[in-house]
Amino acid sequence: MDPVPDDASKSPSAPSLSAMGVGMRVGVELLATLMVGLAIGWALDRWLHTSPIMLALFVVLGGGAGVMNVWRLMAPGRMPGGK
Amino acid sequence: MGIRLGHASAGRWAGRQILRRRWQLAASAAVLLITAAPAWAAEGMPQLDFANKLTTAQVVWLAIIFVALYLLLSRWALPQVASVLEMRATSIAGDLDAARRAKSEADAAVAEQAKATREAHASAQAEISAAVATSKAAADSESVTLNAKLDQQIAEAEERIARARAAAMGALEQVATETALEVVSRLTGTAIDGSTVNRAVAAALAARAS
Amino acid sequence: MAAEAHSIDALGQFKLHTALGPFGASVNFTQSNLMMVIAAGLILALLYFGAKPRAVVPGRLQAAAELAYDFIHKMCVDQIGEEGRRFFPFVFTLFFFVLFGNLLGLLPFSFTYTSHIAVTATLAITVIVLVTVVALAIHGMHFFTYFWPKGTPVALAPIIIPVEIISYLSRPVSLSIRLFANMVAGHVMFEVFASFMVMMAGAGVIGYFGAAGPLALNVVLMGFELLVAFLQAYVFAVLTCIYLHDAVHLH
Repeated sequence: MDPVPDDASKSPSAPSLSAMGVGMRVGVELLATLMVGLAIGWALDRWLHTSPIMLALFVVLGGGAGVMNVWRLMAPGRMPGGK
Repeated sequence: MGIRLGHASAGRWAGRQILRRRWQLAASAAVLLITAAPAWAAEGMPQLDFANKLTTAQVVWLAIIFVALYLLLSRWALPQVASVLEMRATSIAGDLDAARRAKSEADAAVAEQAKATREAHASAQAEISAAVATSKAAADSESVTLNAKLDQQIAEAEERIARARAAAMGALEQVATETALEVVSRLTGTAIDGSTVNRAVAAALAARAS
Repeated sequence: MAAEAHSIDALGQFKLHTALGPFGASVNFTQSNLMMVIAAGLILALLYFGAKPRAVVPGRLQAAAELAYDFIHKMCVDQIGEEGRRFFPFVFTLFFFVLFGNLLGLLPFSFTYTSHIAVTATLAITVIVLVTVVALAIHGMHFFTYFWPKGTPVALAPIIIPVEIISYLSRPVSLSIRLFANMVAGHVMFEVFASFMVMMAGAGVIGYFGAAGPLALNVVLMGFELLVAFLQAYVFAVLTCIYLHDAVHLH
């Protein structure tokens, strides 16, 4: 069972609820962009028969987008969730 | 295999090769993730079991229920709440309006009252000062006439005194002359001329009067 | 540890099966959908019976209905602006559908439909499709400048544009994964602690005392999960509003 220990780390006895929430948001944001990058890369590879160039490229771009999203999330003086 | 092919075709530039290696790493990690996910799903998570027709059916029913809920809420339930809120807002606004109107009326009444008081005060003051002025004028004129009358009386009295004095003086001259004549005739036994005595008396009187 | 992991079926609770007997089976109506209908019914009932007295000084139910209305209405107007009124019914539906799904899932013998990625993803995709349609309707082709932030050097275009597109497309993914992961995590933990409890109790008299530990944990967890249920519904609705704001105002 993979998810059990994974989820147990989000126990209610965590020191700060908001810190946990921020961590959760960052994690989700990174995971989501990475997944979208993967999906686009995979689809482009299938279409253009360029496996695995597009996949690799878009994983990197996905990671970049994730970092950008997290930056927008955390950057001071900005609205939550970007511009 | 695809990875090797890509690797071989890009073998000319060392720099690009390093880049490729990184991509390879990322790609293999990604492939691992992708292949791991279905295995994981097969192992447990019923949520990722997309082969199950119930998973698809659930989404179809979700769409139906969600759209129905949205339509019912937006067309029927929410307008009801909105109308209640609006009713409250208008009734509160109406009450506030009435209260504000009552307050302004009361304010106006108070202002009017104050104005009336002020006016009454002013008119009373005016009346008082008018009365004072008339009475003062009356007193003034009265005193003027009184003064005039008194002056006249004084003048009359003085005149009377003057006349009496003149008369007295005239009488005195005659008495003095007669007395002088008598005294002289008795003392000397001779009659003297009256005009001489007259002159002497007049001179004496004039000397005394001065 | 391995034996325990084998005996704990933390994921069985998420398994779908048909509800309402033969009728449900014939149209593949699952227990998840039954909970959706119940949630929808409760939301409608709250608003209907809440609005019914039409009292100037509200009773409890009316106050709850009005609070719900005002809360979402304020959220829409604050986050989106005056145009937010148009999206108010949608955001309201979304928030309360998710909230009641989360809350009903905490009741015993119920089912949490928000713990299904298919459900959360459908909701998130609905949101993003709406946002995109709104943006296209308001700004037309100008919408695509969204992927080209002002002041970006032209040399960076090949990187920035895909990154912005990925960032845009990641919205429904993060939206759905966040809700799904939170709900699954909570319910898995309930199940795990409850299983510990049963195992402990099965171990005899000492076990009864030992079982108090997981029980206490589950009680604490229940309070925590109530908070999470509200928080996740709120986050879902607020992010929807923020995306709608971006669509209406475009930067």
